[in-house]
Amino acid sequence: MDIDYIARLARLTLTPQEKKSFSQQLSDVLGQIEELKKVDLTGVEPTFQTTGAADVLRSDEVQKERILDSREALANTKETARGHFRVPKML
Amino acid sequence: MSDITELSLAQIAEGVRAGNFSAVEVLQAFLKKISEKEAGLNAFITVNSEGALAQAKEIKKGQEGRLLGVPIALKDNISTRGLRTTAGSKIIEDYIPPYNATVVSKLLAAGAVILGKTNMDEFAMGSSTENSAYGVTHNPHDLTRVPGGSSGGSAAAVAAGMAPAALGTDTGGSIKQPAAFCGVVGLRPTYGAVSRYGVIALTSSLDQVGSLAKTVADARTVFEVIAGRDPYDATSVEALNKEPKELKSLRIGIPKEYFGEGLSPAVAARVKKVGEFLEKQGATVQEVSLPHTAYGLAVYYIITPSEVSSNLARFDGIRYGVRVENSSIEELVSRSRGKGFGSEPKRRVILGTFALSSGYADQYYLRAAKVRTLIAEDFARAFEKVDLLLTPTAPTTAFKIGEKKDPLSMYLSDIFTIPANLAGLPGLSVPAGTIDNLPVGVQLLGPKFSENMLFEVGEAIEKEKWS
Repeated sequence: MDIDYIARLARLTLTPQEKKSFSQQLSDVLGQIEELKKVDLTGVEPTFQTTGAADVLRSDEVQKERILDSREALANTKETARGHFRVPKML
Repeated sequence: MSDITELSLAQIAEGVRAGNFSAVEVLQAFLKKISEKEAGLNAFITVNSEGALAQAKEIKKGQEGRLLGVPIALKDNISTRGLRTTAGSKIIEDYIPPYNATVVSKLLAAGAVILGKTNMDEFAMGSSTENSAYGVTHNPHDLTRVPGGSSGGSAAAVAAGMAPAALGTDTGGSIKQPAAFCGVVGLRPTYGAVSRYGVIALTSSLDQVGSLAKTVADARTVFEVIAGRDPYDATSVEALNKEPKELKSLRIGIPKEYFGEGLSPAVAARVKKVGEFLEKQGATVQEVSLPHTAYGLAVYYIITPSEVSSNLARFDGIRYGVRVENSSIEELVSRSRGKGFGSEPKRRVILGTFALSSGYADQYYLRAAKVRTLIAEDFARAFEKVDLLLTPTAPTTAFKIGEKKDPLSMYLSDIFTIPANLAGLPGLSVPAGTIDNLPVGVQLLGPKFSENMLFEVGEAIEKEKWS
């Protein structure tokens, strides 16, 4: 596993120590997972969820009781600017 | 007056309604227990003393409510409006949710008081509550041992009498396993039976909220209050709880694959003894086979990290939580996450990102999802022959703090809870006495929406005296 590439995809900065220990631990875990290759999966459909529900819809109306006002929405951020979340310049 | 902390939930609610004692007196009795025991246990991340007192003062005698004046502890990944919710992580150590999880709204509507937020493995990733950023929780039966996890704080709080009942969440066994380690009852309901709206997500295809309590009746009461379809959680369904059969006409299966390597012989003997007891009550007990059991752990450790890598993407340092400033937004996000997450979330995000990355997704994630189907089919076939399954909840009793150092040996403590969870089935862990003074639990598993049957059998087991 190219740990630098995966960490970049995950937007997760790792220390050199973490990279070393995770590489070892993850290859152990992946070794266990190789077991799954022994199973004959011909004709088996995957299970992504277990309720069997499909296309759960609701009417396209505003649910007022669920709306946060701007003060509530911004209450947990460290940085705001004029009623918005502040982020570094992207362009 | 008798000790309020010894009463059942129904007795507390009835006592408050009748005016035998007030909700404030009930709360004070539990806060006193907390002041005596919490320092040695570290079961709570936040004790809601002031907020709970304000809630309790509003409750008057004569009011209705199945949980009138009953203090309930909540695992700290369940959002509580205005009350800090950390999920056991430093990355949101000062996060104050602006809304309540649906389960919290339902508890409040039933008259409950929110006692506090309990300790847990970070983002519910773990089986011992050692992975919390807020310190280890100790097992009330032996302070040198873990309470299990990830709902270890909830289990320890109930076991120590600091809370009459608690909510936990269970993804791979995080209610059932700590319940077994702490000698309390733990219910993981059928996937979808309880809303997860406002619960900080770990693995969305597996996460479920459930109850921990001293008795089956109490765990049932809490479940009945929180269950039901919620329009805010599209995966929730109206629980069509089946009527239970009588114990004497019940067919119980013991899966032979659960009695292999890694299971403590004393735990195995206790499960067999519980089977013999149920036979004496008139049930028939037979061996069944769940042939894909051995693959449960491998499936789980692909599916969980994959979903985790997606669910934890929301912790970006921008909208809430730890923020490490940088002139590049990508660096700001990456460094904030690197600083805020502990080891286990990082490990799982990396593993999940790898398992879903281009060129590997079919080999890992899709393959795991297919084996998941075979595991679910094993259970479906077993339930054609039997009404429910009896198994150990965990392979051992509570292990020592610091004993399991590598992630793989820790993962093994969930081998008996994971397969049924992958299939979306309900499970109940019931205490069946002690081994060397440590509690041991047995797990009852049934088809979807068979909670009532699990409760019936669980009550029969808890009435019996086990050594």
